[in-house]
Amino acid sequence: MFLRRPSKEVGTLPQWRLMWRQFRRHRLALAGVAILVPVYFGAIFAEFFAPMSSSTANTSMTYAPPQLLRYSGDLGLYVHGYRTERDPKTYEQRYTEDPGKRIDVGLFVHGDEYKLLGLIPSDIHLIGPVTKGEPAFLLGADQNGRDLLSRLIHGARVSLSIGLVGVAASFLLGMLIGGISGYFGGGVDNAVQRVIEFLIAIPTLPLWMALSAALPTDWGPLTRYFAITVILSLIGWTGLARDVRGRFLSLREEDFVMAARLDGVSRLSIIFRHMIPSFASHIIASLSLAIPGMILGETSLSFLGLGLQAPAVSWGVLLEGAQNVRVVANAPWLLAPGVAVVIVVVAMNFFGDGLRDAADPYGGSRRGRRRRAA
Amino acid sequence: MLGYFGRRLVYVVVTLWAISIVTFVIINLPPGDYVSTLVANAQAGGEGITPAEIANLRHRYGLDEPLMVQYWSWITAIVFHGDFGQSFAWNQAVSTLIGERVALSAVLSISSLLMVWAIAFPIGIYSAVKQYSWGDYTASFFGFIGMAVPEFMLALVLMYVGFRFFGQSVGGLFSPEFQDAAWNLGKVLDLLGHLWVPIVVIGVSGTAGMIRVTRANLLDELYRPYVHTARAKGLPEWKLLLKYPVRMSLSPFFSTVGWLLPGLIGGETIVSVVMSLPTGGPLLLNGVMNQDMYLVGSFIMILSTLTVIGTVVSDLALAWWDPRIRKRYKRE
Amino acid sequence: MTHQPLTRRNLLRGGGLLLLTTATGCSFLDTSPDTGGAAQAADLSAKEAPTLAQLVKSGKLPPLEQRLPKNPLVVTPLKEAGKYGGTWASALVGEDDLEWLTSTLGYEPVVRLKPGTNGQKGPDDIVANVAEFEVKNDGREYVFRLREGLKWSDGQPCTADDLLFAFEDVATYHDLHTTGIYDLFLENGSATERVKVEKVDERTVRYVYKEPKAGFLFQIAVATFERPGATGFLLPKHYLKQFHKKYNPDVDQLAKEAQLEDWTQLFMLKQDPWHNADQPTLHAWKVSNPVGKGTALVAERNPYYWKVDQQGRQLPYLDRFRAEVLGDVQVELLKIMNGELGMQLRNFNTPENKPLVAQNAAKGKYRLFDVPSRLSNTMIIQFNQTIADEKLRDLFRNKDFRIGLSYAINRKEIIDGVYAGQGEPWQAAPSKRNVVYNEQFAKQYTEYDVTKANEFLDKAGLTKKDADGKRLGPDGKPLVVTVMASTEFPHHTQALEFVKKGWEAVGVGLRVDPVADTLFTERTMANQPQASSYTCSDFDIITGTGGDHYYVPSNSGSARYAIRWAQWYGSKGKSGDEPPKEVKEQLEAFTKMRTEYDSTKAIESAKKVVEIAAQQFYAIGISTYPDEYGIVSNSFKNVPDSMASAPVTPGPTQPEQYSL
Repeated sequence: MFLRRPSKEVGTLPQWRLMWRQFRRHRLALAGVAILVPVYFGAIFAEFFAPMSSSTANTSMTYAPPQLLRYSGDLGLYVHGYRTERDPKTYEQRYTEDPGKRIDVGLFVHGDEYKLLGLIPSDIHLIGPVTKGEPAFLLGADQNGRDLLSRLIHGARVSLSIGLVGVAASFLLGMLIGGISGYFGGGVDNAVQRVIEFLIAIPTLPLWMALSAALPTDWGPLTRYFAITVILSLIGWTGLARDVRGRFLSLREEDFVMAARLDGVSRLSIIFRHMIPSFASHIIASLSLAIPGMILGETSLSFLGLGLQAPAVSWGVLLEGAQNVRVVANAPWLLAPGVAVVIVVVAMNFFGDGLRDAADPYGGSRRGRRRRAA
Repeated sequence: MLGYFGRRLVYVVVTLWAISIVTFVIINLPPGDYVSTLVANAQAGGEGITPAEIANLRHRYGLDEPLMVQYWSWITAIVFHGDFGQSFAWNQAVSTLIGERVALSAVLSISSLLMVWAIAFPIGIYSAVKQYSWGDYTASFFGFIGMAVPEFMLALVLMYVGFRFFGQSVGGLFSPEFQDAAWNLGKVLDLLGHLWVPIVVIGVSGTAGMIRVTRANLLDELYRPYVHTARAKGLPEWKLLLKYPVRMSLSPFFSTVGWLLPGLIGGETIVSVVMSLPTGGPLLLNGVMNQDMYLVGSFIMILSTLTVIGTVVSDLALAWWDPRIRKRYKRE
Repeated sequence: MTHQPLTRRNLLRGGGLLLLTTATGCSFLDTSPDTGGAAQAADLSAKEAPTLAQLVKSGKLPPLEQRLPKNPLVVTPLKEAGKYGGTWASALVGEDDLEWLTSTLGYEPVVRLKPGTNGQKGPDDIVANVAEFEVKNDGREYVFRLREGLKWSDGQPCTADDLLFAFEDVATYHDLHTTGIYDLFLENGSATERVKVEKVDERTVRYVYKEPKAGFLFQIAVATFERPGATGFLLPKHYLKQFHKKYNPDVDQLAKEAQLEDWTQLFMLKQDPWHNADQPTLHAWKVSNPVGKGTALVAERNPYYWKVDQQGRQLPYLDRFRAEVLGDVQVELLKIMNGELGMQLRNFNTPENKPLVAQNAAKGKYRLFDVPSRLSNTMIIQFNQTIADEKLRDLFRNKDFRIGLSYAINRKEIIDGVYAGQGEPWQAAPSKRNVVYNEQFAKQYTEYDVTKANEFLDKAGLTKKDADGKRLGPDGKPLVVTVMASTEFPHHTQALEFVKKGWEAVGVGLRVDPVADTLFTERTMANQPQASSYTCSDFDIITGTGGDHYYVPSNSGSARYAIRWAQWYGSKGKSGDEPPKEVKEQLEAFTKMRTEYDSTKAIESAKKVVEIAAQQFYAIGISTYPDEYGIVSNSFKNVPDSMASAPVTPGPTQPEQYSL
C-alpha cells in the first residue's frame, strides 16, 4: 500500500481515459452532466424549445396559475382553460379551472416567429398551444400575463453563459500571477502581494454601481452587464492567486520540487509539469465553486438593482421580479427560476466535484483499492 | 520576522493611501451627487425643486467645491482628527452610524461563523474520509443545495413561512410588544426568535461551502506518503487523521481567515436588506444608492483598512499554523 | 515574533474572550414584556393623560390650565371621544422616508387645511391652527395672531418673536441661503426684495406684499416650512438662538466640537425636527428618540399641546408614535398583514399589493381606507423637444409624430396587463376631480387605431421604409427611439414593453433604458435623453410648483419634454432656448395664474394653460392612476374611511384625535 506500483493497464492508458474512468465512477457527477447537457442545449436553442417568445403577453391572464398538461388517447395533449373574474374592490384576479374548455397543445407547432441562432427564420416550437395565442401556460403566467416557461428558457441563455467568461478570465490570471508570486518569492512575490492587497480592498459594490452609471448609454443592458462582468473579473482573480501562492509556498519545500530543480529542470517546466498538477484538484474545486458562484452572483446583483434589469430576460431578472410577498403568497410558481438556479448550480457542483476527483486518477484507483480493502 | 512585519506595515500605509484615492474617484464616477438624489426623491413625490434651491443645497453640502478640495478636507479630517465626516442622508457623524451597527453585525457574523464551523468541519472530514459512501453523497447533496439557494429568496420565503404558519413578527429584532420594554429573559428570547432566521440563511451557504472546501482539501492530503508512514507506525486512525492531514488541509482556510474582519462590520448586506436588520451592510448599500459621499467613502476606508489588516492577520495565522511558512518568514 | 512565538494557546485565549461577550447578564427571568408599568386609563372624564396628571401631582409639571393657551383649538373627534393611552405603531422604509413623519407628526403648521380638503379651492380650504389669521387688501397683507398663552413643548411661551426669528434669521438669512431665498418670501418677480414683516404686538405679526401673493397661505398649510432644512415659519427662538451666529458669536467653536464644517451645518442639524430630540415643538407628540438612533423613531405626547376636544380634554389621545425604520417594503407589508401597524398609508400601498393586503385584513385585524391618488397618470412618455440633435428635434417637435405614436398604443392591453385592469385610457391631462378637468384633452388620440397611427406618421414625414417595413429616421437609418425609464417605477419597464410592440407594428422602434432615479434626474437636467417616461401629477392651481411642469415648461429640473424652454422661463430669457409663440403665451398665462389671488380669476388662467397644453400635446399618456389606499387597525378609532389627497395626508384628518 505504501509503494505505489501501478498495474500495467493503468500505466498505459492516456491521462484523459484515466480521468474519464474515474469520472464515470462519480455517480453524482454523471447526474450533473445529465442535467447540464440538456439545459445548455435548451439555452442555445431557446427559441425552439420555448413555447412562446419572452415578451408575448396575454393580458387577460396575469398571474395565471400553471395549467396541468393532460393527455388522452383520442384527444392528444391538452390543458384546461380558466374562468376568470376580477374583484373590483381588491383588484384580485381569480382563476377557476374550466374542464369544459379544452386548449389543444401540440408538439412542433407553429407559433411566434424567430430566427434560430439569429440566422434561420422559423416559427416551429417544440411544444405549445396548437392555435397560436391561446393560453397554455405550463408553468403559469407572470404579472403581465407572459408565459413563465418561455421566459425561463430564454433567461437561461444569459444566466448560464455570462458568468463563464468572467470565471475563465479570473482563473487564468489567478493561476498565472499566483504561481509566479509563489514560485519566485522575494521581490516579485512582495510586489504581487501588494497589488493583490490593493485590489482586494477595492469594494465591488460601489465599483459596480459606478461602472453601471459610467458606461455609454447606447450600449444595450446586456452589453453593459457583460462589460462590467469582465472588468470585475480582472479584479476578481486575487482570491485564487493568493490560494495558488499559498500552495506554491508550501510545495516549494517539497522534496520532489527540490529533486526536479537539482535535475536541472527549467523553472517554467517545474511549475507547469510538476507543481500545478500536484494541486490541480484544489484549483478545480475552487473553479467548480466559482461558476455557480457567478450564476448566483447574477441573481444577487439583480436583486440589489445593480445587475441586469428588465426588459432583459435572465434568471436574476425573473427572480428579482418575484422577490415580493405577493408572489410568495399568491403566485409561488413565479419562484420557479429560483428552483432552476438551484438545480443548475447543484448540477455544476456535482460536475466540478467529479472533475476534481478525476483530475487525480491515480489517487482514485488507490482510494478505490483502499475502500475495497476496508 | 519582526523586520518582515515592520516592512509590511509600511506597505499597508501606502496601500491605504492608494485605496483612499481610488475610493474617492469611484464614488464620484457616477454622474450626480447626493443633491441629485434629493431632487429625484422630491420629483418622485410629485414635487419640483427650483435650480436656485438645488444650487443652495450643493453649497450647503460643500459639493460645489472642486473634487481635489473635497478629497483633501475629507482625508485630512480622517488622518488628523479621526473625523470620518457626516452622512448627508442621516445628518449624523459616520463614525456614530457605523458604531451603532457594529454590535449586531458582529453578533450575526460571529454566531453564523460558529454555526458554520461547528457543522461544516465534522461533516467535511467525514465526507472526505468516507468518500463515496452514502453519508458522503447525502452530505454533498444537501451541501450543494444549501450553496445553490439564492440568499434573498430563502430569507423571504422563511419570513413568509414564519408569518403564515407561526404568526411570528417578522423583520427587525424585536416583536412590537418588546420593542420599548426593558431587558428581561422574554426580550432575550424574543431577540433570539428573530435572529435565528438570518443566522440560518447566512449560515446555510457558508456551511455548504465550508463542507466542500474541507472535504476537497482533506482529500488532497489524505493519501500523501506521510500519512502512510504515520499509519505504518501504528498511530490510531483518528489521531493520525486529526494531527496531520486535517491540520495541513486547513492551510488555505487560514490564508483567508483574516478577511472575516471586514465582514464583522460589513455584515450580510442581502439578508439584512430583506429582513430589515440594522447592520452595516444596508447602511453602505443605501449610501451607495443615494450617493451619500462621506458615508460611503469613510465606510469603505474602514472596510479596506480592516481588509488590509485582515490580510496581515491571515499571514500571521498561516505562519502559526504551517511551520514550513513560518520557517520562510524567519529566513527573510 | 522570533522572541515570542505565536502559539495556539495565546490565540485561543482571545477566542475565549469573544465567546464570553456573547453571554448575557443575570437577574431578569421574566418572559413577559416589561413596559415599566405604563398605566392605561379607561376614565373618559379625565382632562389630561394619567402620566401627565401624575407629573402634575408630583410637582414636576404645572397644572393643565397653565399649560393650555387661553383659547385652545377645539377639535371635534370624528366619531367618539377617546381614552388616553396607546401607541401608534408605524414604519418608515429607509431612514430618509421623512415625508411620512411630516404628514403624521409634523403636520402642525401656522394655518392648516380643513379636514377633507386638499387646498384646491384656495383660501376657503384653509383654517386657523397655531395662529388665527386675516387676509387684507386682496391678498397683499396677511396677519397672524398666535394663540394667547401658547407654549412650546418645554413650557416656554411661543410669541411673535419666534415668527420673526424664523423669517429674519432663518428663512431669509443670507448665510443659510447663499444662493437665493425661497420665492414665497420675495416680492413677485424679484430675486432679492423680501416681503415686509412687522411685529404688531407680542403675538401678532403682519406680512405685507406689494402685489397679491397667491399660494402664501396654501404653502403654509401644506407644511412646506415644517420640513427639515433651513426654512421655517415658526421656530423656537429661545432654543435655536444658541446655534445661530447672530446670537452666539462662539457658535463656530460649537460646530467644530460637533465635527462640522461651520455653524450653518450645526444650525440645520439642530433645526431638523426628526434628527434632534432636544428641539422644542408645537406638535402633538415630541420626538424622544430621533431617526438614526436605534431602530425606530419614537415620539411622546407633548404636555403643552394646545388642542382639546369638545369636553375640554387635552389632546392627543394616543401616548406615543413609534415608527420603526425598515430596510425593505416587503417587511412593511408582512408587518401590516401580521397586524403589527396601527395606521399606515405609505410605501406598501401599490395596486399590485392590494389583493394581498385585502386578503389578510381579517387575520391582521385591520381595514382598508381609500385615498385618491395625487397622480393623474400611470405613465407618460415625453419626447425631448429641445434635444441638441437638430433632426431629431424637428421630428420630436412634430405634433403629428406624437399623435401617430399615441394612436399606436393599445392602452387597454397595458391597463389589463400592468395595472390590474384599473383605470381608463388617459392623456397627460388633469384628472376628473380637478377644477380644470378638460375631457377633450384627457381623451384625445387615446383610441387604439393602427390606420390613423400610420396616417399621422406618414404625415410627419416618416414615409421611407426599409425592407422589413421599418420607418427610416431623419438620418436614413431605421428609427429607434430610446426611452429612459426610472427603476423607481418597475411598472414602466413592463408597460413600455407593450408600447414597444405597438410602435413596432407601425414601423417605429423603441429601446427601453432603465436607470436608477438619481441618474435619471442627472441625465434629464443635462438635456440628454431622447425621450423618457414618468408618472404625471395632477394640475395644481394654488402652488404653481408641484406637478404643473407636466402641463407647462415651468421647471427646468423636470419639464422633460423641453428642459431648455423651462430654463428660458426660469432665467427670464437669460439662458435656455426661446420657446415658440404658443408656448410663450402659455407661460404668460401660467405666471398670471401663480400671482393671481382671486381664485376665480386664477382658475380662468389655469384653464387657458391647460387648453394650450392640450393643443401642444407635450406628452403621451397611458391611463388614470388607480386609487391609493391605507390600512388602519380595527382598534384604531376616529380614522375616516376615505381621505382627500393632499401633500400631507393624513395630517388634515387630525391624527391627534385618533385613539385606541
